[in-house]
Amino acid sequence: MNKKREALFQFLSVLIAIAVALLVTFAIILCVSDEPVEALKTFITGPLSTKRRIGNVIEGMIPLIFTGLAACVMFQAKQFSLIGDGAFLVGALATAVLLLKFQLPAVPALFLGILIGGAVGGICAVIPGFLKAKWNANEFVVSMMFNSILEYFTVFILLNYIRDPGSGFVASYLIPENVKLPSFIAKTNVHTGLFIALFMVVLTTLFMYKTKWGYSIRMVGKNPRFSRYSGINTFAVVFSCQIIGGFIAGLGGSVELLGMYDRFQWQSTPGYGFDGMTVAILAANNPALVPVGALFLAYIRVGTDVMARATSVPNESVSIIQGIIMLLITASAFLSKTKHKMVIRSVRDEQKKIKEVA
Amino acid sequence: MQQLFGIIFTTSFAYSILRVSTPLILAGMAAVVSERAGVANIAIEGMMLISALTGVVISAATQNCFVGVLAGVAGGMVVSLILAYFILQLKANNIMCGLAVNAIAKGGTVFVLYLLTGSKGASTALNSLTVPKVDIPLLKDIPVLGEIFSGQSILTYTAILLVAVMHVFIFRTRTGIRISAVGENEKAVGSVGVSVIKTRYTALIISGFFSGLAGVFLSMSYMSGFTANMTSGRGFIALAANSMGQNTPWGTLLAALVFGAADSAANYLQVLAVPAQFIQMIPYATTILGITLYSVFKVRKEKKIKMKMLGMQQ
Repeated sequence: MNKKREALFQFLSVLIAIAVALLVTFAIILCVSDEPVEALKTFITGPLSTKRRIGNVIEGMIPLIFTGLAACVMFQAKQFSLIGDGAFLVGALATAVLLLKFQLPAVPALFLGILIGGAVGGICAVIPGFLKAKWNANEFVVSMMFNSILEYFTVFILLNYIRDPGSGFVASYLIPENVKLPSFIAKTNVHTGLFIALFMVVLTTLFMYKTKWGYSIRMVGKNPRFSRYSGINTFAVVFSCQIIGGFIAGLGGSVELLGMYDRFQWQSTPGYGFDGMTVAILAANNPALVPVGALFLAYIRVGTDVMARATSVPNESVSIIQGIIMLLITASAFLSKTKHKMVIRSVRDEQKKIKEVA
Repeated sequence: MQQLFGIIFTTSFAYSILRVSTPLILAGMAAVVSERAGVANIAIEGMMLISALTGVVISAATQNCFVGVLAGVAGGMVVSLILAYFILQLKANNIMCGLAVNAIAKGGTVFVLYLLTGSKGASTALNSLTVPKVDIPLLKDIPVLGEIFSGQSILTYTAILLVAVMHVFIFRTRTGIRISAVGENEKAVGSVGVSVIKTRYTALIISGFFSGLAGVFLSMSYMSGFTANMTSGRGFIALAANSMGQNTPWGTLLAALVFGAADSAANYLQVLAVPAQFIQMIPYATTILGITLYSVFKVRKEKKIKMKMLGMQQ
């Protein structure tokens, strides 16, 4: 199959997966809801019904873009690490600690705060990344376990170093107002972190497709043995792609904290690392398409939230949709007949061309 | 330090290790059989959750504990069948599929729990049953040993028994040996006329059976009732136990006991002056250490074999 057809096929399979997932969800809603029509309507149109909700969708996209990019970079090298989850959490924590413990002027504080989030996120990925690159230890299980350790570490720091006993719930002191990312659309929380996210999309796309390093990452994912024989340092690639993933996810944590929260208050991961994997799959691991995947996921998320508030259908339905989409998109063969037909067609076309030339 | 030893060398500590390890042992067997067939089963965690809820709901509905356990196990097997279909027939990536199943299980169990009880946290509204604990005659009268091994849940004894069964199954039966062969070299097995896909289906369904039993133990014995996300990573720790146990039932049992000991130590050590969070990290840190050691040994072993083969060629 030529490249164009391959892309078309991939696009179609994503579309069909989404359609099937939504159909299954509709079927579930029909079964469990007393007012299924109302539930469906709020689910589909709810996110667009008010300006605030449209804002919610866009706000929801921002962290998903970061963790989606992180997952893309790691998936391209076939590294299935969940470290994005922990890196996001600890990245935000690092930002909070820096801003609360050191009095810095506003602009450098913002700059440093976000950067340290990324740096600490990258450091989080060192252990799983190194163990995988050096000894081929399963990065998935190690990152999973390490995330739990990072959660407890976060709780420890939050409770012992930055907790504000005066706040009514477990949370840090107030983050200085002047370092927060301001919202730029009235009546919503859509904050300037969106631009940082989009900037990272451009940067990651350029990195993956226009640099030698990015090429190596993609090559190792496609064929690790060939890469090794052709002189690519696979240790460095496997290690670095996870660090980069951790870095981007850490940035996302900082941006989310500074854009959406007054205090640091997470005692467990908000789960964006896993969501980022869904986004990456929706985007076919292409960083440039991550915003589209993030938009979709944020949309159904707000949709299920609105539906949960209006009807009796709990918003956990979103993880069912997410799971089904992941299952179907990764099941590349569920459209194998279509793919087969497309292959035949492309071969025929080529034969025709050859004949014409002859 | 004295205090520490005072805690660790008690029979109640040993008793709790066995109790805490049971779900890890069962889930570990699920990992052994799937890993042997060459399919890392990431979905053990999700299957456990689904079985845990199914067991609770069915036992509450029928007021029969045994039926509840059976239903839970059946639930795990059905999910593993679906997973197997996606991985084997549709050729989907097993990690991604496993993650998807886990997501569906995590959200889906809360979804169903909420619809049934109106709570997103726990199934306290359901009058579910628990698997009884039994005293073993003779053994219970022996000091120390009796206190540790007697009075455990029936499922704990079942788990240990099943490890022995698995050992025989994997090393002594035709199907068991085929499963290992498929994992080692699927093409060789295929060339002698054994269906690779069928063998893997068998392995994954057995994996579902054990995941189901592990889940049922959590909600019907370890605790009485279902709570949201009650597996808390045990399905993944089981994968680690399996790799530390070198894909063997007894080895995995041993590794599961080590993790179980770390886990119950975490419960017991909370009296010490160390911040609770660091103690709670122990089981996870132990797991990472276990995987690392295993991986280092494996790499060394492979290197040795390679060197030997090179030596033979010369």
